[in-house]
Amino acid sequence: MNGSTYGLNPKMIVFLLFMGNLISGLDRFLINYGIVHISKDLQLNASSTGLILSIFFLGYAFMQIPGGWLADRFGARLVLFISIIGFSIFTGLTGLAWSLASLIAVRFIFGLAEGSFFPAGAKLISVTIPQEKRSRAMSFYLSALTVAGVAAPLLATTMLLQIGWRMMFVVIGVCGSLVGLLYWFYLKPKKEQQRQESEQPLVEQSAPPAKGAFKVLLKTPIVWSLMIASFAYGFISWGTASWMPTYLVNERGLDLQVLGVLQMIPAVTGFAFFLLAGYILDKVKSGNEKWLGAASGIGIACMVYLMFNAQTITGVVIYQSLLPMFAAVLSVIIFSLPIKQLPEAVGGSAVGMINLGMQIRDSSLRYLSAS
Amino acid sequence: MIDLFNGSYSGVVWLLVAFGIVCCLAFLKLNSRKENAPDETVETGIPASR
Repeated sequence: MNGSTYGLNPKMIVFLLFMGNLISGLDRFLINYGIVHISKDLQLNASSTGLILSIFFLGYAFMQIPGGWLADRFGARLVLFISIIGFSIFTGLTGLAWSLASLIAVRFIFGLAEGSFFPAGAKLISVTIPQEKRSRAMSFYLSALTVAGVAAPLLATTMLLQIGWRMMFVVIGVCGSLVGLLYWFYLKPKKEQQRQESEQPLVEQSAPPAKGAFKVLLKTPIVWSLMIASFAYGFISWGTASWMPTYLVNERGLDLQVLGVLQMIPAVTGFAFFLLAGYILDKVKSGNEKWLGAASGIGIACMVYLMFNAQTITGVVIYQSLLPMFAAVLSVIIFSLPIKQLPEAVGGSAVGMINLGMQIRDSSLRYLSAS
Repeated sequence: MIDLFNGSYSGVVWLLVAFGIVCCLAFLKLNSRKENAPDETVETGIPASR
């Protein structure tokens, strides 16, 4: 089965997924920059702002498995459309919040709506992209978050100054809704094409997972292994992003401006490494990905160790630039392996389960931080 | 979080290194391709992807 089932070429499908994930990332990251203005306007204290920033993750984690299952059951197109329209509406509503309670409710539902997007996107890749190109598609899909990470501070600082935090969320919500409409119209299977390709089952009409399929998935070792890898990788990723800056400033006496430049390195190199990782993984012989994953796990551990123990700032820069390479390989393997090796009928559920591993990491870190 | 290690950054670093090793072990636990994926069965009706 390929992208022509939707009347589109696979490149267009991957581009749409990239745009959707970019909007999803922006919606998620912008609040980190707007929170100071929000707190001031709504007169919130530190614990309330912490709650606002973290409540999203609860809804997001909660929807991972149901979102994947819904995509398997009802098709990726419908779930992606509902998800992107849903999270765009609630991004817009963030700008209309009038109290702490309303903001918490809006951000929680925003998390619920966005939670089904990633597994449904993975499902779309699994049913529309040829197997030998799925790692590349997944790498491009994932790289959108790196781009969002670079674009969010630039957009936020400009928009916060020009139009304020309320309009910033409304504008991003409208942009997301427009991308959502693109999904609905461009991913619509063409009736004429359906007739011509009647020998092959259509994506939206393909058999949903049978009763008991989810139980089989729970007993599948690859899902648990990748879930553990996802948890561990997420922990390292979060750790290096959050503890490194403090360490470099407090312990190594690094200038804040130099730190700002250093922080851009993983974001810029990350995008290139994602695309490279996807290309390499599609070339690796099936079954050998595990060696690449294992080597990258050791590689990332070494980079973290070397980065913290480097004698010079140049050393820190070198190791910090190499770390995204291992990180990109790990995340592309973690999310492309299930859609390459598991049956298409359970692709969404499998990716939802594996991504939940990363979200459990987030919840546990927040608990540890609080304690 | 750093307080859990009495303000020691090296404790945090070793924790991250440990997670890298966990990640490596999780991949090493994977079997070869065929053993990873469930085959099509009458009970589940999951079609094999290829």
